[in-house]
Amino acid sequence: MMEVKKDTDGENAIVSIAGEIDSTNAEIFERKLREAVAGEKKVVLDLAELEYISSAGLRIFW
Amino acid sequence: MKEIQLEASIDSLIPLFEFVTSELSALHCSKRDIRQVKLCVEEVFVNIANYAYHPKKGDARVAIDVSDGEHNPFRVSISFTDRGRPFNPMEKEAPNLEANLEERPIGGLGIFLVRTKMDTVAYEYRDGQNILTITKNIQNAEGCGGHI
Repeated sequence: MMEVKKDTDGENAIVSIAGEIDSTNAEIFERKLREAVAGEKKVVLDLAELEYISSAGLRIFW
Repeated sequence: MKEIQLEASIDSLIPLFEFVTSELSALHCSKRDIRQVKLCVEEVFVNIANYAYHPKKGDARVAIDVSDGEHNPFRVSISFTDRGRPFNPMEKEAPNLEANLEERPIGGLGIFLVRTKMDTVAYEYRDGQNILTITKNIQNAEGCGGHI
């Protein structure tokens, strides 16, 4: 269960990631994240609601 | 001891997570401990799924054992057994966490997380099997030990 939401504070794109990211949904997460940040110059990632992330998810941030 | 046999594939993570989470919940482990153990189980199992039999297929067994169940903290031991090619993940070098993103090789982070979150990690190759055993001392959330 994982959710990617996009918002803005006027200056930055705020991408909020909630739920769990593991090897079973990391591919879908990567696609959602790429869509969310496409064309954005400044992005703030809000991970407050992220409950679980394994290396499969972490390497997407790199 | 409880044991589950699965195909060594990423899809097996779903039943494996269910197995681990239900066993640890029955022991009244905290959510934090369950998440940490689940993380380590994922990292070890994904290694097996991706490398042990590649490009062929094969099975892996995961067993959960609890020792000193009457004591607090008690110790949860999880062992992973496969018949794939011999591979000791402990021989991999620790990742350089200070390196720039561009300089970092892919991989190596998973086993680093396992070493950080678990108390012991031991590997042996015996009778044609890779056996990796990870253990964690867990403080029972209710102040008493548990049994499987």
